[in-house]
Amino acid sequence: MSAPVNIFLAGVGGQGLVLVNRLLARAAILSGLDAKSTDTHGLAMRGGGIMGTLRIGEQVETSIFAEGEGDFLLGLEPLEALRHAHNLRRGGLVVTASDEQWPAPILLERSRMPEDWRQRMVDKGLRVVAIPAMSLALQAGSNKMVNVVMAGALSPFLDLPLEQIEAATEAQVPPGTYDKNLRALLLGREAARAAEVLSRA
Amino acid sequence: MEPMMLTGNQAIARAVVDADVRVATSYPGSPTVQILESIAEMGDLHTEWSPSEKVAMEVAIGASMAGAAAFVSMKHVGVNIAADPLMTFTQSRLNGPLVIAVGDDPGQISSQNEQDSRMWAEYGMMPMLQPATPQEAYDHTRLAYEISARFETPVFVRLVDRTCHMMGQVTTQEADNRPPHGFEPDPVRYYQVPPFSREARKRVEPRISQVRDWLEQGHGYRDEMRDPAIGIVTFGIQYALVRDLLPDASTFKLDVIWPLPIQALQDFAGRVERVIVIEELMPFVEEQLALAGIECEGQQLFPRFGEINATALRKVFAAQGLCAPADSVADRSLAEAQRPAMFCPGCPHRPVMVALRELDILCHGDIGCYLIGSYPPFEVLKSSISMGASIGIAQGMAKALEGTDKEIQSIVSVIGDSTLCHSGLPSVINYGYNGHRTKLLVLDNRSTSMTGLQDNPVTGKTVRGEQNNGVDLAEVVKALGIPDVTEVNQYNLSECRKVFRQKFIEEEGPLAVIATGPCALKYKNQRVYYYVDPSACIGCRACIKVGCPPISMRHYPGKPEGARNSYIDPERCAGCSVCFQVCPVKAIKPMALGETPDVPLPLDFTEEEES
Repeated sequence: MSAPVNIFLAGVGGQGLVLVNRLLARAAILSGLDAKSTDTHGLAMRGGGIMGTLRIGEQVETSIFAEGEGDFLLGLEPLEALRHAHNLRRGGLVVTASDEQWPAPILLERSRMPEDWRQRMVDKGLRVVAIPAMSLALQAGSNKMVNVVMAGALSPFLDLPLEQIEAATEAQVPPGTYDKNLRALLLGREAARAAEVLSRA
Repeated sequence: MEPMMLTGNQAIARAVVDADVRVATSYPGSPTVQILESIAEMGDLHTEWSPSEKVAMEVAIGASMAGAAAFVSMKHVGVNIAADPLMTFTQSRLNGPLVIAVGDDPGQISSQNEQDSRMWAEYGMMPMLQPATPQEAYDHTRLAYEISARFETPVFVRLVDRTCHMMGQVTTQEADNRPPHGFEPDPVRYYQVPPFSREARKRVEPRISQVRDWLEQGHGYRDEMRDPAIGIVTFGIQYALVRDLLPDASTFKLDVIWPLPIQALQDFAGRVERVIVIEELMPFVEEQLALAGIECEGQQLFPRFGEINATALRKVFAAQGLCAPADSVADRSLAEAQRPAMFCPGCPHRPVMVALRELDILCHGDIGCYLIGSYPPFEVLKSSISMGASIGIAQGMAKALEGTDKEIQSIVSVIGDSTLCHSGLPSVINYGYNGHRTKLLVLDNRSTSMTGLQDNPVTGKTVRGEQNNGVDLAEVVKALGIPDVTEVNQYNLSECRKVFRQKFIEEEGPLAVIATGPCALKYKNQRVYYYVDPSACIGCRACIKVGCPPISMRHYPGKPEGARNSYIDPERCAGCSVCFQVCPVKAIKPMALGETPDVPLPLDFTEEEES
């Protein structure tokens, strides 16, 4: 039996990371695989970091894996992707939104946004795909859909049929919002397919 | 039955409904909040957010006394106040089964401390189970009802954050049918005072012995022999992690984590060369094995605090030469800036902290979103211990320093609506009774927000959304002993400043101020958004100091090298106007939703659009 695929998710509270995690887990199960996901949202307060893990395989004991065992990192915000990059294995793939949400220390000018966040991850032997997710979400119809854009952006790299990802999206998003969420999903998927994969030459 | 996709919390809710529970109660606390909300969605039993865990426990006890199946959930610190009724009720021979789900928090992911709730199980002689996965969360809860009904004892299901929020496939079992037996008075069971309670007490040990005998018959654990070189005794998430990391190791997996099947464990230990106990927090299992003369390792390998996660386990196993070390590509230092929680855009606590920050007073904090007022750029709240404690702490501190050269002129307790109802009200009574003169600031945002925007006694809306009678906090505070109560809408910052100055600086306590701004996340009422006119902005950073996520300092085209001016992300502004009110030069201006101001964007945004 092959080892499960390990996915780490990172973002900022309020971005809807839990929904993405469950959407991808559901897509895997609809595709006939096993999956377990976990979210660490701490308190429900917004603005703090939030993360999740997802494992997809023929049989999955737990959603939890160790640092250095991740195959994919899905970032809804680049600083959070950078913060959790150590969860990936060598050659792991980071798929992240490029839209920065500065945390309090940067807003208060006590720290700086690392503008070279792409390069820092590439230098560590990771591969990086960055997606302008907010503009795609707005194009799809709402600034609240960065999460679904990014689910779409990770989707071409997962061995799951599009049909099941769409079905999982329909099951996870609020009633009446499927059409625009589907647009967001597909815009993210296309953007990731067209995007350059940055890696150490 | 077809598997469903459920989180651990949802799986417990499903099991509660399938066990034919008639009364389910809780007070919201991470990580177990969603259990009660899911029960309300899945079943038509009586489901309530009680004002506190103690009330929740008592309502559940009443249902059990009536011979119905009862359920109560809470976080670990909730057991501290629910323990008062529980530690006596556990002497009773139960009429209806009672299961208590408790969320422990190794690593303090969403709590103020780490407590090991297994101590309650031993202390009150109540069996306890601990699941790892959503499937086990379901199965263990069903088993907990069987044990509770069979042995007439309260039963705990202990959870941790990872289990509560893990989503996976769950196959359910056939539902129970438990019509209530009805209440038959019996003082030895229900009237817990001597001589009845002495009689009841005698029956507790025999009851737990029966549970232990049942376990020794092969229930509540899985003895899995593989390679005899290593035998691991564990339970919960750590079991699944061990199976991943050391698939060949023999394992003794506990489903029931108290009491322990000591003979079965002795038998297992006799078949393996080395016994390792893996348990988070206290060396609870390890000490019981040691008492039984079973040689084992635990504490010397694992810390007594924090989570034992996959990374920590791999590190220990690798050091023991049992598996390969992790091959992480990056160290943890790639991102320097931390990301502490911030008040949401539009949060009513922001103007309160802005106004309090300007005063020379001492503020004690409580449990709620307003704890962010202890972080930069506010740093207003100076203590936080437990639910409702801000009031008593202020009272005691003032009395201790009264008349000395350390006396503090004005001490204010800052507490939210739900926390005040939970356990602040007895301390309000203490103002009048013992002549305390400190001041009370109630942040009535009409929501229990920190745990996910639950309703509470102040809104009067139940977990099912039914509108009942709410509590009028101003009237309650007056009636309990503080006649001087002032209400203020803090979104009017100048009015808020005026009231705070008058009440907290000029006037003598006891007095109360109630800030009435509602939670911006729960009650959305945005009409405009605000933008910065960079030509008017002087870069004074007054707006930055209100600590709002969409407001940052940026470099604009045409401005001198290194100059930074304020910028508000229009997609995230909630239109509360606090930044507008603190701007000394009117550089922050309102704009109707959907319209765009004619001002230049900062350079990093225009550059990104061009690339």
